[in-house]
Amino acid sequence: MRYFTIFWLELLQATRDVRAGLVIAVASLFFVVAFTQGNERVGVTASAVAVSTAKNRQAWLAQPPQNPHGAAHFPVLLAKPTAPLASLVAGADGILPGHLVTDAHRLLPAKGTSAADAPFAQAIGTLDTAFVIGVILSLLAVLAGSDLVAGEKERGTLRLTFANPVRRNRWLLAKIAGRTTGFLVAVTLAASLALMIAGGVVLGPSGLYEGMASSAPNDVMGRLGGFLFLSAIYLAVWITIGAACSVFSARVASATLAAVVLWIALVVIAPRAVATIAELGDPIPATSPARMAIRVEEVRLRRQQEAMVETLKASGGLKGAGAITTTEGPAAVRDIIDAAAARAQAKADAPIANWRERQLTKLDAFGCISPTSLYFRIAAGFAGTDGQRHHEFLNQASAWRSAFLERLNRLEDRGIAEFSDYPSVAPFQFKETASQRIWIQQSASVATMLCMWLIILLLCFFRFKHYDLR
Amino acid sequence: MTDFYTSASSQAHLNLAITIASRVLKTTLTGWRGRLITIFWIVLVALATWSGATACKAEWQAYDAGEAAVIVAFSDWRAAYGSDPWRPVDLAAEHPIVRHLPPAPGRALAAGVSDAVGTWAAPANYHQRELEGRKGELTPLGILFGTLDLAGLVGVAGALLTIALGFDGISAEKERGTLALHFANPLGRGTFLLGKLLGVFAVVCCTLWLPLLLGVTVLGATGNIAASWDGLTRAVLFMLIGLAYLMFWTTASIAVSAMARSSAASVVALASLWLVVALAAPKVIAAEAASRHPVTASALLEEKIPALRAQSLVNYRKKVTAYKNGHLGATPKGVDAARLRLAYYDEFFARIDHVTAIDKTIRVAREHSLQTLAALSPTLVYQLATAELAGTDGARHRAFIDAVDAYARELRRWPEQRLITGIDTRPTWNELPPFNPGNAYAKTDLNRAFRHIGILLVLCALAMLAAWLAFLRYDLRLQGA
Repeated sequence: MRYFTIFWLELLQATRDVRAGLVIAVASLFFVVAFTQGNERVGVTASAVAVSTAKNRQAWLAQPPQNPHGAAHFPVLLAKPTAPLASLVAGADGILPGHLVTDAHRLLPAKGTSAADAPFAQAIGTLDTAFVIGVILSLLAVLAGSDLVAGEKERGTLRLTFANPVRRNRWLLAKIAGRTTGFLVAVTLAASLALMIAGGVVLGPSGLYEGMASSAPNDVMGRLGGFLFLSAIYLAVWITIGAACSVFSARVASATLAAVVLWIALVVIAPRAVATIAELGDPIPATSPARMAIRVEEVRLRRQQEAMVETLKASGGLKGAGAITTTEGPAAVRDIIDAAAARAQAKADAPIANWRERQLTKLDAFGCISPTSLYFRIAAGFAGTDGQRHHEFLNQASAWRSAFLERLNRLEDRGIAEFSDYPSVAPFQFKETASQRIWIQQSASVATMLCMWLIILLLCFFRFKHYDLR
Repeated sequence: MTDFYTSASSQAHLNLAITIASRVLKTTLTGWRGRLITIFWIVLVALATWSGATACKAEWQAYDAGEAAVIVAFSDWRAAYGSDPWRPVDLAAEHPIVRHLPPAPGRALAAGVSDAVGTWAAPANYHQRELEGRKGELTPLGILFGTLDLAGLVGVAGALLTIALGFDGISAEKERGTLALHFANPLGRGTFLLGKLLGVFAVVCCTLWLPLLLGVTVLGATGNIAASWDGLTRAVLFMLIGLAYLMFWTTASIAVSAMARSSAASVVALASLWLVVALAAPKVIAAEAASRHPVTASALLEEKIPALRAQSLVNYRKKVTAYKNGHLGATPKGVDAARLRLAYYDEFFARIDHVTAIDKTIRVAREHSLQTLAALSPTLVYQLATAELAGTDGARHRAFIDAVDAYARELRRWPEQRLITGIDTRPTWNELPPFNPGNAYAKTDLNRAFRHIGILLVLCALAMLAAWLAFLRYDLRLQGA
């Protein structure tokens, strides 16, 4: 009860303090900008995806009857829907392509990056909610924590406090908890205020409220819950870092200076340095040779396929066959060629894929040196604006294309000369990963963040326990 | 004292200002704050120099490997056809040629858009809109924060450390009560302000600018900046822009310090200014410029191309039919077929140009909007200027895409023209039309760089004017209150 009183007094003091007003003002201002720009960003993308997909579908349906192989040559647009929390966390969405177009003979590279349209804006970054929390609020949080103990030392009230039967670590824990709760209350108030001013935030896979309501709202809420939980822990980590500076310093000024230096090192420098360190001695390999090798292999395989078809023709094996079979051979030949093409692609891509794997492993390991880089990585994971969702999209698009071609080619194999049942081909629908799965994927990183918090707390306790009150 | 004010020359005022400046320089450099910041900054510059050199080297290695591979791939591709007869369409549609954007001349200084956009393109599509081989696509979250380059370091951390050096330039004197003592002597407020400004600026030059100069020199000495007149010009301008940028933050620090009653208030105001100007404003401005001039979504533009092609094909088929009618039903072959295909390509490309012209106009308007709005944030001015100087800005990237676009058309038209002149053999690598990435930027860079330095100096003058006006009206009796 005694420690609850300390907590409660600290909470009241934190909320009444002039700095709470400053936090609310600054956070509201930035949240309004972030929400408004996030809504606009997602709205533009969602509308472009909806219009272009609808136009493409319209063109598919409006085709005249033709042979199935001709239909398979139609360039179907496979667009990636906006990520569930893209309006809150831009993540890597701007760098990653947004769509690809199928072709009967090859899957064309994914295209449509925001970075291509506005490269400098992409290089500068986006002012999204994750940035407001990860960078701006983290500075306010570390400053909020930096006078927690040093203030008491400077005023001389620390000795008075411990003249009473109060345990040091429990007192410190109650103080940190009170200050953290007060800060989070101020941030929540600011976010609520900003939500009212900005008119809400756009959530959901289709980028609209309706989308959230119609397609698995629980998943969106699950992801949102993860993001909010993570953000709360992250801010708590920064308040605790501020408190640690305060415990280690005798004066508020030196605690504040140490807190700011730590903030610069961990927020401004470390996340940028992580990628550089990860590439130490392992620079990115040239990516274009793979593309060239695949192109040459395509020509070789086509000639090989032509030779196989000629042999079959000569032996009379293709009598009465459809257009595709006479040009590309029966299913057995096509399967051999497709398998060879897949092997060639995997071989050409191997150096890049291996480098990517190595880099991701290193980034995972080095990312833990800064709570900020860890925060942005997990936030993008919950939001669906990371590389993982993009690869899931590429996999699903590739599977859809294979099924699409397979179906049309089999019709040709069965001797059906004319295809007109266009509505029977269902449009591509990206299936979002369930939020439970996202939680499982991110659990290790969230646990790392919690461990980070715990370590800083233990450090505070250890130092404070041995602090000489004299 | 009266005599001094009425008769002292401007030289005497300057001498006084220099005396104040030299004292500020001496006390700060020998103090713990100056030492700590110097050490911290040297470590950061060393990291950024190493990072810039590593990135530059990696990009050159990838470029060289790609350029070497394309010749081998072309030879393999030729061999893959065996004894097949040569068809111009083979080169138009099936070639393995990839063209690479050479690393920017100042890549080691400023990363700019390097990691966000690609580095090569296959000139095979009808309309090139973006490059491939984006590093960001391989490790998307690895480049989320940008790389640790010298320009980024100065833009964000340099500004903050300048504030740390100058935030209490005048406010500390107010707090200590020494300001009134200064003005008990024959000392003008303007002279005092100038002395403080020069002093803090000298500290910033010694603490931040000189290590930066050392970093740039190391990059030049290790061959990461071209040892040419162009490379030297870029490096010198980079240092000058850095100086102008640091001068802005020095002036802002002194201005706020002159206005604030306490150092605590000064540091809070300056930190807020830094958060808004250096961190938030560039992002908001870039988003605003994009929002004012939204480009057509890539997918929407690509949707139009098949229809444009179909329209051109209709005309092509009509011409083929007309040819057949005029040649007793014979199918056009050889030179006649090449002429018809050439006419088809020209019509098709003209249609594409008509559609994409709007897109290009919007991009130019967006760029112009970004440049105009940038004046609101000195950090954005600095970032734009350094990226332009380094050649890592969007303009160079866009110019390369246009060059690849033109080359893709050339690879369709050239074999037909070659056939018309009577050559119908499969071309060798050396026979191919040359590719020009259009990399002449030095002159434009200089003009832009000087304009950006001008903007930064105007901002400095405005901040100084504000400081002078505020300080002139400051009531000395308030000090220590």
